[in-house]
Amino acid sequence: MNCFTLATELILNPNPNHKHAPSRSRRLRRRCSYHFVLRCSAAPLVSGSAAIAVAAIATVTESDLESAADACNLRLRRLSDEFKSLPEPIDRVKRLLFYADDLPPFPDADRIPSNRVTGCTAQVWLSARLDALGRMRFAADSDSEITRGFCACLISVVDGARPEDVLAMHAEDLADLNVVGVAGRTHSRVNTWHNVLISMQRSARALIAEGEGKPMVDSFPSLVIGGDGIRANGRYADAQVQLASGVIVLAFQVSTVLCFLYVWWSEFLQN
Amino acid sequence: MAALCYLPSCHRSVSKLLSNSKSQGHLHPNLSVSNSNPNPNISGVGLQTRRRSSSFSIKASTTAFAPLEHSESTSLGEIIRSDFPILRQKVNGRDLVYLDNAATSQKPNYVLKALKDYYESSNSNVHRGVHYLSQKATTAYENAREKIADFINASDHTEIVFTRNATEAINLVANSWGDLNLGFGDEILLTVAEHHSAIVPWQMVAKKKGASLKYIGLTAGEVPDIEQLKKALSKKTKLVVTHHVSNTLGSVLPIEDIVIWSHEVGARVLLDACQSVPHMMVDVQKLNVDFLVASSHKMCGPTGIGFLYGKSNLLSSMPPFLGGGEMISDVFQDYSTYAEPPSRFEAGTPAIAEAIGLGAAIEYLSGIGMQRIHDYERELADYLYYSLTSIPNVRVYGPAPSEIIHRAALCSFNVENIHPTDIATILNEEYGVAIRSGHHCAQPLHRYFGVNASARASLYFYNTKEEVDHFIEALRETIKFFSI
Repeated sequence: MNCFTLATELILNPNPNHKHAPSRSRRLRRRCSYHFVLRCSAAPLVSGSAAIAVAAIATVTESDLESAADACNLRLRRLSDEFKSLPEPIDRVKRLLFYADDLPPFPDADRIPSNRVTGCTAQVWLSARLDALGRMRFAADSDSEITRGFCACLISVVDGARPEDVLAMHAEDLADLNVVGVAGRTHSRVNTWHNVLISMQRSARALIAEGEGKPMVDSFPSLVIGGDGIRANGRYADAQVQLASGVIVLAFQVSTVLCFLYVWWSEFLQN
Repeated sequence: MAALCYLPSCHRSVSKLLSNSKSQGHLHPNLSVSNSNPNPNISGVGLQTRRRSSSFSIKASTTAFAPLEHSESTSLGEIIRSDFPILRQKVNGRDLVYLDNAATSQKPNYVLKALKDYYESSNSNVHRGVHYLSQKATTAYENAREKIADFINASDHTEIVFTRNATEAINLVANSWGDLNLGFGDEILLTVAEHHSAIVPWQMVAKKKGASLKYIGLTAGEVPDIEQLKKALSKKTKLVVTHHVSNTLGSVLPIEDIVIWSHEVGARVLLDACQSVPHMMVDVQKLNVDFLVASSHKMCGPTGIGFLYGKSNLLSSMPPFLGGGEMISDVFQDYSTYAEPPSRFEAGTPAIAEAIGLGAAIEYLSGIGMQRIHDYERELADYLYYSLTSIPNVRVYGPAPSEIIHRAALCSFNVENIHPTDIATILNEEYGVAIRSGHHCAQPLHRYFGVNASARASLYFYNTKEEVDHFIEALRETIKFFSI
C-alpha cells in the first residue's frame, strides 16, 4: 500500500479513537493562534485541517516517498521544521501545548503499570495496538501538559506506521526537535522524547512477537527487590529469556552436530 | 614538606568581607594557626584532643571574621557571588538565577584554581611513590582529609574515608558494617523522608540478612515524628538511618536526642548530612553519631568525591567493601591481609584532584565562616518560604518556620492543577530560573503526601533576596500562563 492510498484510507476511515480534546484544554486553544499548514498523514486529524493535509499529501507523498518509513521521516522532518521556525522558546512551548490539545482522551482502564513510561519526571502512559491494516496505533497521556505535547508530537510522527518503521527510528533522529532546552542529544532522564520512543519501540517488538506466536513479557519494572524475593522483570527478563533461549538453541545445535560426527567417525573406523 | 596552601584572604570577595568588617571595627583575623583550634568554626564544647600523624601536619591558615552587627553594604550573597563565574551567564537571554543548590552547588574560583594547580604542578599517584611529585600529591591529599576532619570535628583524620559520594559511603556502611552486624529479625529505622540513597542500600542488605526496615511518618506539622521514632526503638533496632536536614521538607532534626535514644537500645546511628554540612556547623563529637556521610559537590567542591565519617572503633572492626590496591597489607595467592582504616576502604587510585578540591572548598567556606553562612541562609529561608506561601494555590511542604522550628533555605512546593515539570520548564525557558522538578530522590515522601512530583527551589549563600523576588515574580507569571 503506498502512502497516497494509505492517506486516503485514513481520511475515509479515521482513527476510531480520536475525539476532540476535553474541555480542560479549551483554555489553551484560546491562547494559541497558530495554524498548521500540513499535518501528518497518518495521525488523527483535526477537522478543518484534514482537507489541507490530504491535498498536501496527494501532492507530495505519492511521487516522493519510496516506503512507509520515508513517510515517518517526512513527518519528522516537517515537525522539526515547524519547531525550528519558532525562534523563541516560549513560542515552541505554546506550540507543544497546542499539540497537547489534540491528544484524545486516554481511557482510565489503560492507566495500568505496564503502560507507564519509565524515566520521565512526569507520569506518562502509552498504549499501543495494531489496527486492521497491521499498523501501529498509539494513545498517550500525562499529568504534565508539556509532556502531553511531546507525546502528541511523537504520535503524529509514528501513529499509523508499520511496527518495523517504528523500530527503525532512533532517539538521535529526534535531536533536531529542539523544542525546549539545549539543542542536541540529551541523555538525561527528563528526556521525554527518548523515553516515549523507547516505550513505543518496546510495544512494537511485543506486538511483532505476538503476531509470530511468541509469548509477550511484561515491560516494567526491570528488577524488583521485595519482601518476597528478588525477581527479574521487563527488559532484564527479556535479556534473560533471549540469552537463555539463545544458549539452549546453540547447545542443542552443537550437541546435534557432535552426535552426527561421533556416529560418522565410529562408522569410518569400523570400515 | 610544603603543603598546598591556598589562603582565602587572597580572594577578592572574601577580602571585601574583610574590608567591610574593618569599616565596622569588628575585624578579628586569625591568619596563622596554632595547635589549639585550627578551625575557628568549631566550638570548644566536646572538643577532644586529636592525634595527628607527624607526616601530614597541616600548616593551613584560615581567616576568621567576627559577625557584622549591621552592614550598610550589600548582603553576603551579593558580595560573594563574584567568586562564582558560572553565575554570570545568561539563559535564553535572561540572567541565570540558579536555585537548584540542593541538587548541586556551584564552585568558586578558589576551588577551580586548586583543581587546575594540582594538575599543573602536583599531579601524581598518592601513597605509592618516593619521588617529589608523589610526595607533594600525597601531602595535599592527606591534608584534605585533615581539613574534613577539622571541619566536622572528628577526633582523628583516620575517621574520614574518601568515597565517590554520600551514596557510595552509605553503600560502604551497608555492605561492610551492615553485612557483619545485621541478622534475622533485626530492624533498621528510617524516616519516610529519607533520600533514596539512604533507603535502597539498606533494602538490599536487609533482604540478604533477613532484617527489616521500619519507617517513621510525619507529624501534622510535616516534620518526621520524633516521638514515634522514640517509641519505635527497641532491642531489635540495630541501626537508625536519618537525615540531618531534609532535601524536600527543609526540616532539621534533633540529632543529639535521636542518638541518645538510639544508643540506649544499642542501636547505631548513620547520619545523612548532605544538606547540613554545606550549610551549618556540624560537630560529630557533639552529635555523637556513629557514621556520617556527605558529598563534596553540594558544598562548593567538585563532583566525584564525598566522605564517610565513622568512629574509629567501628571502622577498625569493619571488613573491606571494595578489594584491590591500597586497601591491602599483604597479598598472597590464596589470601590477603588488609590495611587499617581509612585505607582499608579506599581501594584503587583515589580521586586525588577531587579530594584536594574538596579541601579547598572547605578552606573557602571556613574563610567565610559557617555560622555566618548559616545565619544568612536562615534569613533567606524565611524570606523564600513566606514569599512562596503568599502566592495563591501554592502548597509548600514541610514545617512553617518559627522561633523554634528552623527551615533550611529550600522549599518544595506544588501549584494546584499545574505539573511541576511544566512550571520548571517555563521558569527556565522564559525567565532563566533554574529549579528542580520531580521526586527529588524522595519517592516514599511524595507518596506519603499523595503526589507524584513537586517543584523545589533551594538556595545557597551566593543567592540573594533579589533572586528570590525574581523567582517569585516569574512563578506568578508562569501560573498566569497556564491559567488563562
